[in-house]
Amino acid sequence: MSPSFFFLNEDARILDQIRNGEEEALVRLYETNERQIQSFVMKNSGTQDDAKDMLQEAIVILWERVHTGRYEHTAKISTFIFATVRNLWLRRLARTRRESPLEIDNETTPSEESSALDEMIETEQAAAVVAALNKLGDPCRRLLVLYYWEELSMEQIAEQMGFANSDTAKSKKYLCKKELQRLLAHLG
Amino acid sequence: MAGDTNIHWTDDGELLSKYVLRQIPAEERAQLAAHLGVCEQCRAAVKRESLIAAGTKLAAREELKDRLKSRLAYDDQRAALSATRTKGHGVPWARISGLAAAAVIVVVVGVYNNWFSTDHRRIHSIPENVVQEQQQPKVESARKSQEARPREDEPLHESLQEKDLAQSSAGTKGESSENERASNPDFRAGGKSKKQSPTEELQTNIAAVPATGADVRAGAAEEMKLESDMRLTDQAMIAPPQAFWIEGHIIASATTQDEYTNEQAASSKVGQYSLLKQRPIEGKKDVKSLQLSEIDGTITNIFLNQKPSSSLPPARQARRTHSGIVQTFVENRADSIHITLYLDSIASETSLRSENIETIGSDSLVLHLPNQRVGLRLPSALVGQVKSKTKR
Repeated sequence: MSPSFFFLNEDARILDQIRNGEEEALVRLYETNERQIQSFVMKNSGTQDDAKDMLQEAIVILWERVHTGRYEHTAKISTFIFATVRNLWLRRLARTRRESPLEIDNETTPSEESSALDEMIETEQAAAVVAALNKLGDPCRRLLVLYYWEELSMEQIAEQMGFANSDTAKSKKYLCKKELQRLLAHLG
Repeated sequence: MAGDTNIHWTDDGELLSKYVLRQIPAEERAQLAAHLGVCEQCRAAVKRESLIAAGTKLAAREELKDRLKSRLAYDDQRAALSATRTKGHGVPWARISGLAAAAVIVVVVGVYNNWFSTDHRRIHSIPENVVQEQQQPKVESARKSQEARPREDEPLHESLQEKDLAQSSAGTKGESSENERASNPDFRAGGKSKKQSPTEELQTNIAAVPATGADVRAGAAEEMKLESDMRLTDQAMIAPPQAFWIEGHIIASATTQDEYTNEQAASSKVGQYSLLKQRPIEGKKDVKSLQLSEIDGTITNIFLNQKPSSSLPPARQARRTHSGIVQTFVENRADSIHITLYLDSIASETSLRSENIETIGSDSLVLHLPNQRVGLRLPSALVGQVKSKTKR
């Protein structure tokens, strides 16, 4: 496919914008997909707020995939978003069913119970990391986000954060991680 | 490597991170995973690393999501204003056609009037002085032609000419008058070609609200109203804004908790999640909703969330000029209001319950947190007439 054709393709343009960190693209994606997602979520026991939440979540996942090079543009972006929302929403529904005491499924197996518990523990632990990360402050927080979320290489991080070279970035990351672990241990 | 109990591949921080982030080819990954089966210490290291990666991703996602929400809220407001403005400033075809019709009618009526009055005078031999009296304004000055046209607030003319004219042009008189008002520069500028009582004036203004849209009569007044609406700040929007930032004020600090306690740390993000999970589904009432207020007779849930101030978007961070201000994000959803406080010190989940919310007046809330009280004033457009049902 020629580059000019790609340029004309709306999806390709949005992907380019995301790669360039242009967040306006997210708003466009939201507006384009809003109606379809709302219809799906509301037809499946959800509210308008749930639909908004799911769509935002899916868009953030798309952003993450594109930035980490894990997004394969094999289908339309709207198809990816719809499929992501569908998965997220079904998972949330299943979790809600497990949590609601009035709707306890008697046939729930112990393994399902334990996975729900694991999920809860993981969520709590991740929340503790978020708290510690916020306590850590910049530039450590930014560095770790660039490394773990954006999955940038040390060279790229050094360039973005103005470090002398990748070795500096590497040693900074080591120190930041150590401090984060100290905070986590302090938090319990 | 697997057999050595003192050296583990997880000691290599880079390798550990790459393993967790799945940046290692499948074959090599399988070898490393095999070692985990026999090394408990390594499993723990992988778990710690996974946790850091998961937490960092969660924080970054939340931040991006917040930025997206802010953008959407801003765009919604801008779109609403722009839609309103377009209505006022776009090509006003209805008004143009109305004015064109008015011009045609005025010409036709004028010609007809001229013809009819001459003809009538000839046929009925009306005394000259009567005709002159009726025609005096026109004769006096063509420039004051508007004064010569029938005016609604004047008594009906008793002359045959006027009666006949009224009969023959039934239906056009009113229209002409309406169009005249629309085209009359005095009316456009707020002056009244027809004297109005204060009540009538108010009714005219009400009729000029955009809902009447294409109504030619309301057009000029509508345009004026829209111009003035455009000057309003976001605190006084036409419709309640969907999401916006406000600044809360710390009223008093009892104690300062600089460090997180375990309980607080556990409750911060988790507390927020549990609130989100408790949203009503399929019309089920949210039994753990934090606050109920009565807005225009409907029940509205007020949800309180908290986030550390360090997670504020950069633009808001810049506004944290002093410690007495609490940046607060308010979302006005269909059936609930969500208030997120960005606090320097995260409070326990229980402190965000309804018994700790106090309403002051019709538009203000005071949140009684363990170490401080935060006062929030909501825009009047959002609150409307909040009838507090809050108990302390």
